[in-house]
Amino acid sequence: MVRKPVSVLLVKPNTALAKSISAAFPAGDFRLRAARSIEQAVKILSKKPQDVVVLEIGGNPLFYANLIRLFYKHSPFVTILAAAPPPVLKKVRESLSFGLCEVLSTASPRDEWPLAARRLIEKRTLVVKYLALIEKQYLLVDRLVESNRRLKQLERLKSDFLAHVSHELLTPLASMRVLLHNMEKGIAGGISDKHKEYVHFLQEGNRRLEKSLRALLNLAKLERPETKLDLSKVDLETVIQSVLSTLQPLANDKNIELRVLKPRAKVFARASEEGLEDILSNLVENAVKYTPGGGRVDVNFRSNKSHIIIEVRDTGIGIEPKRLGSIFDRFERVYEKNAVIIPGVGLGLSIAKRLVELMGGTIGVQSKPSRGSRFFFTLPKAGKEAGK
Amino acid sequence: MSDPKTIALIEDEESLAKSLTDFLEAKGYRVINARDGIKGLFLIRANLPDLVVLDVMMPRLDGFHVLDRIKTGSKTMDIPVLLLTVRSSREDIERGIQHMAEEYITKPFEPEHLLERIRQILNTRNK
Repeated sequence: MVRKPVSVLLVKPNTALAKSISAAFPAGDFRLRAARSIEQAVKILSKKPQDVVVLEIGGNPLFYANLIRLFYKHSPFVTILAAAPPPVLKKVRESLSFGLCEVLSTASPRDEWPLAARRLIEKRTLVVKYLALIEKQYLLVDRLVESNRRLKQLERLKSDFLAHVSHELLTPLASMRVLLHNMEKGIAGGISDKHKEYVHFLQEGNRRLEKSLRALLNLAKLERPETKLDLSKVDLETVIQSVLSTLQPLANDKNIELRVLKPRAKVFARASEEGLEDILSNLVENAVKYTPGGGRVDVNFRSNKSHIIIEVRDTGIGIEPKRLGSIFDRFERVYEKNAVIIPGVGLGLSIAKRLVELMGGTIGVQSKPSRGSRFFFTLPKAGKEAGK
Repeated sequence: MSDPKTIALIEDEESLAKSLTDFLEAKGYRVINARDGIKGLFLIRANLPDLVVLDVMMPRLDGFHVLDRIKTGSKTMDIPVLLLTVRSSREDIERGIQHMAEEYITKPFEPEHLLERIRQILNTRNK
């Protein structure tokens, strides 16, 4: 491989020392140029970048320091090889300890000069490499800043989109519901029994659509990072009883026994009452849905020093072990083996999980196929400052 | 029998406005309609209905603005207003209450539930 010759610029080459230094650089490996004055050296540097500037230092080191800064200004990647007489060598080295610069003694052996020049070039190669890396990092940072800005914009768009979608989808549902009601009640004229039956199916579909939509919108809202719940002191037994009484008809239809096993003392949680109702109705409704007729669903709760644990146990179909890990993911559904599909979008558990987390608790599940499932979650106890 | 009560229905969704009108007329009310907030406001000022059923999301002037103008107009301030909206979050309901709506119903709703609320509001007014 042919190495490109190193370009060397000698400043004020008339002195005896400069002459002897210039003779030290073997031709072929180095290409020498000479600048008769400092002005000419600056001119050459600004026109054509040089690898090494060789400079003899005499007199005030500060003057030379400024001179070297001037060289750097015109040619940022030039390296400086300076010669200083032994008595001032230490002082000169201290004042020139910046940039790609090396100071040799005027008394150094001649072959030191090309070696020093090579060292400087190697150093420069490393510096250039590092600079390229740093530049790359800056570009990455720029890109991150930009993508962050776009994510924020998307987040805003998502909220606007949700508001828009909920209006667009719920409004026609509202019209349909009134239209169906008018048909069912004969307000628009009499209809046959068969028509009535169809109307009932449509009404049922209408309600299911609304429920699924609300679940989607609710989850989307809960997933926004800025969402916070209003927490207050909540009497667990009251909330549980109210949820169970709304689900009692569903349990009665399937002949499932719904029970609450409560502790002797009252238990108060620091929670959002609305959120807690959502979690419990999701868990209990699921338990009833996935429990065959004649089974049992138990809700129990107890408190330890810092937390309250609430459990919903059923004697239902249970969950396959491989599904347990993803049961709280969106749209994860458990289908019965005999392909009876139970209505629902599969968002209830995701919503429950998010709500529990927003209240500072955790949620979990244990299950054995065909034996039943146990869903449990924790809530912080209502502290004295929370109670009123 | 006394004269039928008049309900102003301010709702931009044609199918909902039509079906609700049929429903309320079947229940013995006189229903007058407007399809946007500004027309609704003119309709209310000109007819002074016994009750207003008002949609929140509407073109030209939204329900909250219409509500504010009803409740600050000297002739209309006593007319009860029932707000209809797809939003169900607590903040929206609180906003409706702050704007002094008598009732706030989220869409979709059961027509019988709406009827019950209308009857209740009109009954308390008659006492």
